[in-house]
Amino acid sequence: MIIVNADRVLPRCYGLVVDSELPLPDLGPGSPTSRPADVTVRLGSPGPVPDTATLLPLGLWRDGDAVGLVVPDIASYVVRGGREIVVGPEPGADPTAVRLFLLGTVMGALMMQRGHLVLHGNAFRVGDACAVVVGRSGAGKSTLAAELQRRGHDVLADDVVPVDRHGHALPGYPRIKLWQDAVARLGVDSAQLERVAHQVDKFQLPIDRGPAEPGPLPLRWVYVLERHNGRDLRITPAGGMETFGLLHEHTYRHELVHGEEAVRVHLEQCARLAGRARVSRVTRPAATMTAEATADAILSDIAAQPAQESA
Amino acid sequence: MNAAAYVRSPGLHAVEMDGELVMMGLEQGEYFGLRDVAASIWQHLAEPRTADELCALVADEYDVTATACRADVTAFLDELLGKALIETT
Repeated sequence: MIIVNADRVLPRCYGLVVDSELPLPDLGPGSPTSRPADVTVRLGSPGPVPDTATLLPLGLWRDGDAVGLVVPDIASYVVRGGREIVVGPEPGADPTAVRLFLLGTVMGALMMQRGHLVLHGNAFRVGDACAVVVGRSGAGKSTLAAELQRRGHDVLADDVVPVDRHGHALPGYPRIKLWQDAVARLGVDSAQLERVAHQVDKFQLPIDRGPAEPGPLPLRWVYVLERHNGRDLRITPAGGMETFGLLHEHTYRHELVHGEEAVRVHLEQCARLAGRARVSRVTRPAATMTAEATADAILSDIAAQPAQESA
Repeated sequence: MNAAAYVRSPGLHAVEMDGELVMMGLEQGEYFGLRDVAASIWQHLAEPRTADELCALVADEYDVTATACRADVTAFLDELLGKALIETT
């Protein structure tokens, strides 16, 4: 008897082949692969939070190489060793919400476990390199990403941007999460988009990246969205500890940077990135800021500040 | 005379960014930047040093008298102790 190792059709996320018992339509239809899955997602009970676990904010916990997340009424999750995820949805939980936390916080934790610096922001393509815009929730990151996409800069990752040890940002899956008013501003009918979760006026804007799936791209510029009460829009480069503070503050779920080893790895990741990318603050007038003006300012800053050569 | 020696607390790591030494405490979200004299003192604290030794080293490197920098050095050591970045041996 000949056993044929048939290709299976599996989706990818951040370049990793994902084999999931929970359907993940967000990742697209996937493609045939003979490669064993890099990440497995199993449905089951992650069990109780271990007694030895360190409890962290936002329902997170950490115990050795395991990170867990408990979201009341939605699901419990545990992710181990950067490869295995177990999801236990609560009875009656909205499947969209179950996927939202899986592809957000849990995938973010998995990418951290794999040794990446994970930034909370959006990555967009600039020629053969890329830039990342970070900022607090509500700072306007996704609206800006949609504006940059409209101007022909491919959005590579939305919300969670893993950066590898070579300073390359890893493209995520094609969507931008947008609030309804932002969707309306872009002239898209939100009735045609899938809601991020029921009861939440946030929609997924699918991104058409064309046939070529982008690979990891060197991250050359990091822009931190901030607001002020003045009238002008300013871009100011950061240096030294300020750079570290900004990268740390905008590390996705930085609560997970906990314990001696995690802190050491994180410091080195930030220092490495600071040596390769130019980190700047974008201070915008709270009253009059628009995605268009911010995109103009960032794109002209990029044009005026050619990419640093990688070390 | 106080002959206590000071040394960096174990488990602390520092990295250089744009000539500034950045370190992160193990408490959530705490980080510190040291530059110039402060960064130099931190380098010396890889081994146990008394305040007198540190003053002598600073005086030598920055061309000041040990007496002139004594107050600054002890204030800095107190600050590092307060933040548990160093300990006495």
